[in-house]
Amino acid sequence: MNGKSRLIKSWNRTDKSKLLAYFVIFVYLAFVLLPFFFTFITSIKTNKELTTTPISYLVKNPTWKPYYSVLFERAYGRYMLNTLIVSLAVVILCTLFGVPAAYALAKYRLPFKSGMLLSTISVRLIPPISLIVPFFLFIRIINALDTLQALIMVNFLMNLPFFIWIAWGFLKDLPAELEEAAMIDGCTRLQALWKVTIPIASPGLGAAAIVSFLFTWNEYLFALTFSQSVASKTISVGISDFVGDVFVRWNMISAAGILTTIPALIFVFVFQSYIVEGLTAGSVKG
Amino acid sequence: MLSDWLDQLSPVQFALVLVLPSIIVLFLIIGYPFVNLIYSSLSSYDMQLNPSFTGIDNYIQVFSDGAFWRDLAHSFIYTGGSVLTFFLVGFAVALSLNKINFLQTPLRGFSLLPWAIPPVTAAMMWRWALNTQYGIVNDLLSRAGLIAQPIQWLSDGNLAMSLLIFVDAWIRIPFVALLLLAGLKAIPGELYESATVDGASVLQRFRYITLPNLRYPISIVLSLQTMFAFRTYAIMSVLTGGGPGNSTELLVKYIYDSAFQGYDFGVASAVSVIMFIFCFLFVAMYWNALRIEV
Repeated sequence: MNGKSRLIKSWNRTDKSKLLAYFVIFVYLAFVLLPFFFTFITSIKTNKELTTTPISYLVKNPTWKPYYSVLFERAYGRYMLNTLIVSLAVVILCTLFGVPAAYALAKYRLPFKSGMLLSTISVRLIPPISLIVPFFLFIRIINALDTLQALIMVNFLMNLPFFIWIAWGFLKDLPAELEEAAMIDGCTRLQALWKVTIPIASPGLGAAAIVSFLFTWNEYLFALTFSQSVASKTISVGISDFVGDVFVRWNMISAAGILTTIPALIFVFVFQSYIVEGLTAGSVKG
Repeated sequence: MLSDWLDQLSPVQFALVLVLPSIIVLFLIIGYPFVNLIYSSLSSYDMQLNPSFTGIDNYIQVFSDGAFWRDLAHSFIYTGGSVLTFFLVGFAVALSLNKINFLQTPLRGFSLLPWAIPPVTAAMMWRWALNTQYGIVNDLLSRAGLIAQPIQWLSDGNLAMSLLIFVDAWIRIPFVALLLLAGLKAIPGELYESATVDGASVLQRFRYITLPNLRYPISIVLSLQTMFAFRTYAIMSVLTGGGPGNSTELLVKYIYDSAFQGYDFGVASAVSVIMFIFCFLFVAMYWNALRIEV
C-alpha cells in the first residue's frame, strides 16, 4: 500500500510532463516521416502494384525499375548532374567572395562597416519573385537563358549575403591573439588568414557552405524561369514537370523525389551540428 | 607577389580589398535589379520586350483588377494560417525536445528533414499521400474506420487551402523548433530553480522566464518565416497549382503568370514592388513589436 502510493506520488511528480513531451515528439515525427515512408515504398513498386487497392505497405515485388526509368529514360540523371554542378559552383563562389568579406568585417576597422553588414542582411528582405523580371530581362540580354551559368549567377547572388552573415557570426568570436602571434613569427597577412584563422573557423565556414549548398540544391523559382531544356533544368523543375505529365507514373515521380533528398539526408545525419550551428549563429543572442 | 602587395597596405586598405568584391556583387543585386524593377513597374513592354515609360498606369490597372485583390487575400490567409500553425507546433516541439534528454540528436535530425529537402519534393510527397484513390492518408483513415468514402482532399477550395497551409507549416516547423530550442538551451537553469523556490507555478515560469528570454529567437523566426511564407511559390505550384478554380491562387502566382503567361512585365513588376513593401512591413512590424535593436 505504502509502496504503491509512493509510486503514484513519483508518477505525479515527475513523469507527466516528460510523457507529454514524448507524446508531442512522437506525433510530430509520425507526421514528418509519413510522406517519406509512403514515397519510398511507392518508389520501389511495380506499375501493377502501384494501382492495387488497398495499398500494400510491405511491397510484394520490390523493384529498382522506377529509379532506372527516371534516371536514364527520363533525363533525370542529367537534371541531377545540372543541379550538382550549380550547387558546387555556388558554394565555391560564395567561399571565394564571402570568406574574405566576412573576415574583413569581423576583424578590421572599416568605414561604413555597420552599413555594409546591415545591407548584407537586408538583401534577404527582397522576395526572389520580385527579382525574376529584372533577372530575366538581364539574362535574356546577355543571351544566357537556359544555361547553367545563369543559374549559378542568380543563386550565387542570392546566397552570398547569407553566407557572409553566417561566416561573420563565427569569425567575430575568434580570439585575435593567435593571428597576431603568427604575424610576429613572420607570417604574411594572407598566411595568417589561410594557416591560422581558416582552420580554426572551419566548422563555421563549413556550416555556411552546407547551408548555401542546400539552398541552391532546393531552389525552384529561378530554375523554373530561366531553364527551358535538359541543358539546364534542375531536380525541382524535373519533379514539377513529372507531376504535370500524365505519362509519368507515381512510382517514377516518387523515385525522383527520393533522389532529391540525398543531400538533405547526408547533411542532416552526418553534419547535423554544422547545420544547427549555422542556422542558429547570431540568432539566439543579440 | 600578391602577398607582399597586401602586406604593404594599411589595415583599412587591406580590409577594403577583402570586402569590396562582395560589396560590389551585393550592390549588383540590390542596386541594379531594384532600380530596374521600379523602372519596369512604370513601363509597358512591347512584343520584343522593349520598355516605354507609362507612369503609374500599371499600378492603376493592378488596383482595379479583382484577381489581384482575391490573390492578395489568399496570400494573407495562407501566410496567417501558416504562421499560427508553425509557431504553435514549432514551440511545442522545441519545448518537448528540450524536456527529453534521450536520443536528442537523432530526434532533432529527423525533425529537421522537412526543412532540408526541396520544397517541391515536400509538396509532391504530400500531393501523392493525399491522392484520393491510392493515397496513404485516405487508406489509413478508412482502415481506422474514420471514413466510409475516400475524401477528395484537393478538389474543394477551402480544404485545398487548409492543406496548402498545413504543408507550408510542415516545411517551416523544423527551423522554428531549432531556433527556439537553441534559445531554450541558452536560458540559465538557475533562473528556473530560484523561481521554483520562490513558489512560481509552471505557467508563471513560462510567462516570466521562458518568454522574455526567447524574445530574440521568437522575433527572428516570426519575421523571417512570415516573410518566407508570404513569398513562396514552389509549394502552391506543385501541390494545388492554384486550383481548384482559383481558390488557392497566391499573389506570387499572380506575378509569375503576369510575367510569363501574359508577358506583361510592367504589371508583374508593379505587383513585385507591392510584394516587397509587404515583406518589409512584416519585418518592421515584428521587430518593432518585440522591440529589438539591430
